[in-house]
Amino acid sequence: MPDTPKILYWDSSALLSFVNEYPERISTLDALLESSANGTIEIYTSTISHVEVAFGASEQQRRRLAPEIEREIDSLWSDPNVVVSVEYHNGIGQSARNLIRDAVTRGWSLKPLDAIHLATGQWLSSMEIVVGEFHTYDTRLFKYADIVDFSICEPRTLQPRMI
Amino acid sequence: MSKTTLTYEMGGQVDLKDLENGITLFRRLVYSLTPRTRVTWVVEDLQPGSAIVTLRGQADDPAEVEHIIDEYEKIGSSLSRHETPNHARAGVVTAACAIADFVEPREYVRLGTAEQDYIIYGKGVADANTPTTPLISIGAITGRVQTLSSRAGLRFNLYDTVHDRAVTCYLKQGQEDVMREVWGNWATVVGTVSRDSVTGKPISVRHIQKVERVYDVGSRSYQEARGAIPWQPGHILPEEAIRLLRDA
Repeated sequence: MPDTPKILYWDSSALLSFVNEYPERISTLDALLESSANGTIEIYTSTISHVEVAFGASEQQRRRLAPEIEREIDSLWSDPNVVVSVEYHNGIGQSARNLIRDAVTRGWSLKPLDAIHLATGQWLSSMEIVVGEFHTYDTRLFKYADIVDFSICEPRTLQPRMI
Repeated sequence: MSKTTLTYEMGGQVDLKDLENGITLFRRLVYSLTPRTRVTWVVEDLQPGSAIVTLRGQADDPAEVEHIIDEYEKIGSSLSRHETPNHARAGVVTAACAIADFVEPREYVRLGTAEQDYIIYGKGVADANTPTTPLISIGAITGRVQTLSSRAGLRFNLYDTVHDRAVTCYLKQGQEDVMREVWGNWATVVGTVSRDSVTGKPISVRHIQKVERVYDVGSRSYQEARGAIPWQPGHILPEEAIRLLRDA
């Protein structure tokens, strides 16, 4: 397996898996976040993830999140040295629109929020913050690697953290 | 917002020769716009990286300074559209065209004031059909407040978290107090954000509505989120929960 790339984009499903401490994923996610905290790699996500993670957690609980839980989740975004949040802006919107159009020509239905995440990764790459991998647990997104400049896969690392 | 400053930025990697040539051309343009006036231009700010210089005009009559800045905006507007500026003095046109020639093999040059930004791209970056007007939206930029100027209109630089690049932020009169706590710290600035239309990089924030300090957190604070909502058998998977929103 090749080395983990230096710059990663995390889809909300990776972040929610961390919040969930999802058993089969947590050691890999721990290892990647630790590497980011150490400065070995960089992890980026869209600010849209802030909403999606809260929504997803709430859906799993089937109830409104308690304020203390929301505060714990917010700690994911509070240190820009670990997870860098990228603001949505017009340029990303235009790129997302182009991706949706490209997907249609292939007979795919790319949803706007999926497109915004992919476009955010594209935009970073165009800024010389070249995304090596787009990490997601949503296998429906894998095929879109054909229309972006990075590979799309589940979070992975050479050495998952043991504990 | 009183107009007292001119900003000139050379985008991309700037070597010593570029810096010397670029500043010379900027000086020629500013001086050609300032004949027979008693305006003195003093350096208010210099930023490395993309080389950014800001000058502040000093004169007994502020209207003289404002008039020159208006002319500077017109020059910027023409050059950003790859047009030859229309000006009564040939020296101004010559100086402006020299900047257009200078930018050609480079990324861009930005002419900015407290109210407007004009980006002049080399034709290799943006042809005549590429919109060069900055993208404007109400938004927020987070970064570290590094420099602050309180002379004649409050202005500060924010080094954003994504690019670690100076974003010029212009405060309104009376907003000085909001900056008291944030100098040297992380902050989120909410206002009208101008972005480079080609790269999407933030350039400036004007009409600032709020400056909110972002407090430093302890290292590994992100771990507080680990297991905030532990997954249990019977729960939907994380990706399924997210998908509910995206497919709604």
